[in-house]
Amino acid sequence: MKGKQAEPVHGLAPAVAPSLLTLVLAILTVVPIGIPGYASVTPNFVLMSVYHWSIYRPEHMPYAMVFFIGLLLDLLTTAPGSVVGLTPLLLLIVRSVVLGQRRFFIGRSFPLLWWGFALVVGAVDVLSWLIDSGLTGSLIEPRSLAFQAVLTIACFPILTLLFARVQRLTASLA
Amino acid sequence: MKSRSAPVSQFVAPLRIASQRFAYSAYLLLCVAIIVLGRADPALVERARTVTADFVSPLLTVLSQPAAAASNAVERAREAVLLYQENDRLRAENATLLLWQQAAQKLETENAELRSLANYHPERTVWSVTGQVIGTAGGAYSRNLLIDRGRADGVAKGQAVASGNGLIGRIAEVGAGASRVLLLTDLNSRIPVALESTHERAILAGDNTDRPLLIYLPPHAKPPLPGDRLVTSGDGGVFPPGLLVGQIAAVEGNSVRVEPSTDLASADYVSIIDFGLGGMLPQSNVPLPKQPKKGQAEAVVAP
Repeated sequence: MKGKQAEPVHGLAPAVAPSLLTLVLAILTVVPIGIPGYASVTPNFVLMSVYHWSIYRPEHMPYAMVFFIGLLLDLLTTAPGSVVGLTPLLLLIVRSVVLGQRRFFIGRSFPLLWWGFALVVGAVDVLSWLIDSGLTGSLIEPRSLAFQAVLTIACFPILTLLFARVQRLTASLA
Repeated sequence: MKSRSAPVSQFVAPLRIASQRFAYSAYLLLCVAIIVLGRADPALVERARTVTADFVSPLLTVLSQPAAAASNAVERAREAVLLYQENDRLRAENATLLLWQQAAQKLETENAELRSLANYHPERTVWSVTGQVIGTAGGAYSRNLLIDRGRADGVAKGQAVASGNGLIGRIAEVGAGASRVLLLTDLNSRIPVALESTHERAILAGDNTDRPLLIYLPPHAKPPLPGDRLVTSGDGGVFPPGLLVGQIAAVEGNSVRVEPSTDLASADYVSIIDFGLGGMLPQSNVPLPKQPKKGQAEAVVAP
């Protein structure tokens, strides 16, 4: 689960897998699954993906891709009146910050990674709440944002299993 | 330790770092530009959104099938368990409905007679189409749905969207084959409503919670009671009067919360209805707030 392969891996499959997976997760975010209330607390799968790949395969999760997927997510989920462009902005910052702390994360135990992710989720949500409220001029109800944050942090281990599996699989294909 | 083995990387590595830094700041700036542009020119962002929705909608339509099938299967299993109870309930409901049918027929004849007396010609035609929900989006900042109907199906901005028992929102953006529904719980949703019992008018204002707020209730009005039904008032000419919206859920001082009549989040299929009212202003006609010039304000006040 720790995903030890942190050295650059070459080949097409490992190169496209992170971006493709993140793209799929971005689209899955809006697929209706029939659970009442799910739409407002859908876990932030894209954030998990960007966090994971920024640590283990930053070369295959370039800024351009982070920007593109973040913008796509915004264009898919927002309605007239809401802010567009904030999600890619925050994802870019996440990638840059995580990349700076990469050495600290590589090879460490999963709980530490999880803790790091929780901090990232907290920071991203506080920032987005502040900026969004500032731009729209209305205080967004923070409760569903808090629920979403908790759900996102809770789902992180499951998604990490998936990411690690994909990482190993594509590395073996290379 | 002079590295003779990798002379190229000596130049490439710093270059790569520099280009990475440059990419980072460039994309950050681009994001800020998009945010600012989106606030200044909402039409541009809207176009980008409809293009994206159109592009992704075939994929979403496919992906939402298993989800719909799964929720149908769960529903089926639940129905099978509750078959007898359900049968009894339906029989009782049928008896009540038969009474209502009689009442409706009586009223229909009466209505027809009165219309002919008053020489009334209904000119509005109600048009409707059913769409499947292919995307439930929003996160914490918005409440909206994507549906698989667009301009090609006759969908237009401002049309009412209903599901099950009542109104759930309106069409906010239309693409060629997909549209976005702004739910009445969205922060930007404002719907003119009236209390069914007292006919007091107010505005139903979404705030991204499950229960929108009832605002601008006349100060002299009798405070509404939990359970009072709320219908569209017809003001503004977007929705016809009398469409069920929800019922009063809680009254706490000045804050009145409304429970929508339909569970907005779990709708699989919705009806898009055009009442032919044409009350939705085109973007070019929407009056923008302007600083009133001196003297002009007085001229308006004193005709």
